[in-house]
Amino acid sequence: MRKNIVMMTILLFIISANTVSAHTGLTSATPADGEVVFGEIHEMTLDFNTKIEATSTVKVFNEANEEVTVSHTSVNDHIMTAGFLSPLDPSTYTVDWKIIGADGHPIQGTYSFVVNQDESKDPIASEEAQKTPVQPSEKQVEEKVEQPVEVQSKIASNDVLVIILVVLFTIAGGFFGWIIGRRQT
Amino acid sequence: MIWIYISESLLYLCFSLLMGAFIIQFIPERLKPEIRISKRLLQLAILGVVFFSITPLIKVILFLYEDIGLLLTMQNVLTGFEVGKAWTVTIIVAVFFYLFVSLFSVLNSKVLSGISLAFTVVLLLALGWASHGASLTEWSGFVVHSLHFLAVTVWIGILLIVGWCSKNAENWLSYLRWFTPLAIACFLTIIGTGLFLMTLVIDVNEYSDAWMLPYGQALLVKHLTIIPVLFFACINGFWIKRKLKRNEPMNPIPWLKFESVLLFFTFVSTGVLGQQEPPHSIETTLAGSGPSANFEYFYSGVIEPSMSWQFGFNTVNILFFTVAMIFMGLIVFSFKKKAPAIVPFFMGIFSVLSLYFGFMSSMQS
Repeated sequence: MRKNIVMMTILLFIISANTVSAHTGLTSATPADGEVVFGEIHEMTLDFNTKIEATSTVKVFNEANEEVTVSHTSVNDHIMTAGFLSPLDPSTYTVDWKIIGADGHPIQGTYSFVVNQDESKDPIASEEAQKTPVQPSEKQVEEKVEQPVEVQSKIASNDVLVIILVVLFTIAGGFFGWIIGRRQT
Repeated sequence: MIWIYISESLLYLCFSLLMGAFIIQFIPERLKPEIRISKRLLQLAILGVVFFSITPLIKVILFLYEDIGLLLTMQNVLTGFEVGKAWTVTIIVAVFFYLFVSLFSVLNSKVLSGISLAFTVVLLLALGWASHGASLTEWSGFVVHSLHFLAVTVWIGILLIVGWCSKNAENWLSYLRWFTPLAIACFLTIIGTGLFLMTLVIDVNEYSDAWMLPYGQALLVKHLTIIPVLFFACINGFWIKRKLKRNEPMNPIPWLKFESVLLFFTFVSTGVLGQQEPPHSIETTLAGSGPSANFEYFYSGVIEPSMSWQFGFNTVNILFFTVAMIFMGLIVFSFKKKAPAIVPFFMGIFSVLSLYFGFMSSMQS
């Protein structure tokens, strides 16, 4: 009976583990990675998969690599919000985040998004702009498929591995001989 | 980073010593060899828990102080962070524990040993509180992590105390009669809880993909180091028992000592594991922090975040696995031929090395 209970609990844990199954340090963000945003951005939200500590920080850089002043950041459980003094100018922004999970693990990462001019000004241009980020990502997908074929099983330093093998076999042989020899004397 | 790994390993060692020392007090005299534990050892282990559990805090402080200054960081970490709060609880409990152990002869009374055991468990829970599993889940991560660590320390603690503090091998058969089932129960608990903790961090299907990252490397090494431990455990638990039953002359203590040393290597790899960035997504982690240096050594091609590894056999890795099998065979063979326990100990280490190289050279994208 007791065994059953133990088994059940273990099973339950394993099942619940699958539902928890976390995937990224950063789960989602607004604006999201690679997103092209139209209109005014006053605030940024980063959602992490783990509870984070209050000292987690985020830095935002524009195209010219100048740091954009973040007026305030707040952390609530696993969501970090950062506000800007003035709405972001059109540019490509890089976001560097640096968080501490509740387990004390520092994790950092980076992503970028684009702020475009207001949609109403030039709808055609913006539509094109909207398409542009899609294309490179498609290319990336293609590259990823091709590349493994090119570099298939390129195990480095085969020579070193062979030397290690020889050494290991020698050691094994040596010990085998020693054990047997020891018995005879 | 090395000092963090060493201190983590020693932390587990201190916990195991405390756990083993107090549990063994509840075993009747006729079911264990004569054991003498010095009080100094207990005091040192408690101090060790305090000092070695501070390293994750130091790590966080070093990571943060550039941004907001050292004093403020320390204050923030100690009062605001989960790891900080957990450590504050640890130090308060440890001070009382230390005084308790110093003032009373805790090893002579079952009641006092029981209280000491309770102290140890509270310290262990404080450690589980700040664990990675606990930060990811509501409560299950905390419970499972603590259970995992409890099973580890009970098994290894008794092993360490009996291996290093026993005066003779008296009552060995009656000792094995209760310890073997206990060790098996602990081991099964460790596997079950370990699997749970692993699924929190990585997808089991992506196990070999994770080898690209330091975390996956540490996990692989940790799992490999368990193999020679199991060989020693079987020899200690079953084979020596059979020999003793037949009244063959045999000193089991060195074998137990080397089993505990092998387990210490598992502690070290666990310590390394605990300090790596857990890869919730291999792709993102790879893009963010780069691949493991070991992995780069074995693989010279372009490392793409989206790569997936297939396990494949080739001449080199078949030879590595063969030599690993030979080394495992030598563990058994050297016991059979009554070689000193240090010989199979090294055979165990070499088998881990061979398996590691075998797995690393088996990767194909």
